[in-house]
Amino acid sequence: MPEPQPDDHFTEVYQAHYRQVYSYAVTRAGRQLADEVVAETFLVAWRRLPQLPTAAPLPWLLAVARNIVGERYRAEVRQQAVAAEMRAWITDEELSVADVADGVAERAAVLTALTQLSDGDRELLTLVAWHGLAPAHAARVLGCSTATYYVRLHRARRHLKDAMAAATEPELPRPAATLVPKESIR
Amino acid sequence: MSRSPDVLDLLAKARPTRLDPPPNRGEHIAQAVASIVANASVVERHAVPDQLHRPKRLRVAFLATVGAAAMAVTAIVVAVAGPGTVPRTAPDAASDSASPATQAPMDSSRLLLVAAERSDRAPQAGGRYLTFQTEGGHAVPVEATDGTYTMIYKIGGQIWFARSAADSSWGYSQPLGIVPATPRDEAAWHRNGSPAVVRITEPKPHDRPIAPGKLYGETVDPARYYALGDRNVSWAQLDALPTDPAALRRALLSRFDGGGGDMPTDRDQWLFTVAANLVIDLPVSNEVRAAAFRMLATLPQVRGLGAVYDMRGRPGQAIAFTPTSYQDGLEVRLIIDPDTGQALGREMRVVEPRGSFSWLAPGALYAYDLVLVSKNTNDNPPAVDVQN
Repeated sequence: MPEPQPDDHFTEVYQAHYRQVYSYAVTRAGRQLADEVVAETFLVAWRRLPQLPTAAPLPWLLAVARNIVGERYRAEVRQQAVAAEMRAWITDEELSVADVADGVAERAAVLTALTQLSDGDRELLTLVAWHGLAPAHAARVLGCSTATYYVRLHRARRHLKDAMAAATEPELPRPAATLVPKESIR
Repeated sequence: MSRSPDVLDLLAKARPTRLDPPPNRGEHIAQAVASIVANASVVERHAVPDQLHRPKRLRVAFLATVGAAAMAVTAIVVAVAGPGTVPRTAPDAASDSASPATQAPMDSSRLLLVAAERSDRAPQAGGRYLTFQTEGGHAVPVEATDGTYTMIYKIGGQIWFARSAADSSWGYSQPLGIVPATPRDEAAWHRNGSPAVVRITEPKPHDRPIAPGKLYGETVDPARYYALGDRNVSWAQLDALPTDPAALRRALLSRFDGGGGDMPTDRDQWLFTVAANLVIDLPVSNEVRAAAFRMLATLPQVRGLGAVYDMRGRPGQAIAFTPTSYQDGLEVRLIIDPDTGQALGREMRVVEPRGSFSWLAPGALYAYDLVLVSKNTNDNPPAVDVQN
């Protein structure tokens, strides 16, 4: 078998997307495992190069990365890594790195709220907010339909909002599920 | 859809810098690529190609994505069960006794051409809303005292697209309950105490009530609702699809990027997938649907499966694409009513049980999508039980 050679297309894809794959890997498995996930992901991409979508390879790459994270690490290992990662996000050092004018408290509040969400909600929200995916692409990464994705995103956003509100106004009772009378739905 | 940019924007601004690779990581692209390729060549020599690192879930992603239009819509073609009987996911019997008597087997291209003609003639009328109502389901393994049995998890979906900007468009979904897949599974469910809450073992164990759930609804943005294949498509783009089969083929292929990920890489199989997507999941005109049928009739690998019933017991004719190899051991079937030219549903059946579907028998149903209603109407969208 001839030695495979890197080709221009693969190099371009790597160059264009390795930072995004890395970011995604950090959110899903923490920084300590991210390099490994990135390497594995591009290994799969290289081996399946003919199947790599040329127009928009990122959702494909992230779906592969997601799969690798799910298959390669035991759940406890990944959860610990993610927990450690999230603790690092809300350290003073990390918070002070960003634009100071933007309000450290607000950043801390939203990140703290994020850590209180389910893994699924967190993934949905960060795919949009941090990894910049369009809805159809985010849906592809998650393996759900675009329609389902919207529904889940809507819910996750609400959960984030609630978690932020709960942190700032701990006295307020949580309302029960809202029933909407027919007249008001339009 | 009404976004509340506040919270997502806040989150976007709070993006930790730890998400970026360490500095100067990006300066050695050539080296990084060379190391990946070198690593790959070692793996190639020591492992069965395509097995070691193959992402098992990509195909599942595809299964979900093809239902993109409706909220995980769906339907089983049932070759042996008649209307009103327990839906079966058991392997197809030879198409004998219980086939609908009224429908003689047709070859697939004749079937498609007949359906195209009828589709052309189907009535269309204006209305305040275009509504599209669907049912979907997929097989789930349920924990039992002795292994697992199979149940079908059903979900209903509705879309109400407002014709006027004064009205809102709505999307709905509703769990329709979890039912045993076959009489054998039903017996297993009884043996295990007929539980009202079952433990589904994949992808990781979780408990679900089997009763139908509430109707969940929210306003949606029609411009960003649909995907064709794996890319978003606007309503305007759908309306602009050609009604000539050759032109439609060209228009669809202009979106073909080599497939991959969750889409087939074979061009004709990709066309079959996208055309099925078009007639099952998207509110296209009768003329576009007819063109899709005529285009499908030209694909040499499409074959007829004869008369079948769908999960609701509606009679139809099924076609399938025969690939050179069954990538994930699944076959996609399209069910058509040749009398009306409507597409009734799509099903995915196991041909070769392996990977994520190894727990299913050959011929068993994995997932289905049914089109129940596709019409223009002056009715109001339903009231929701739950709105987030």
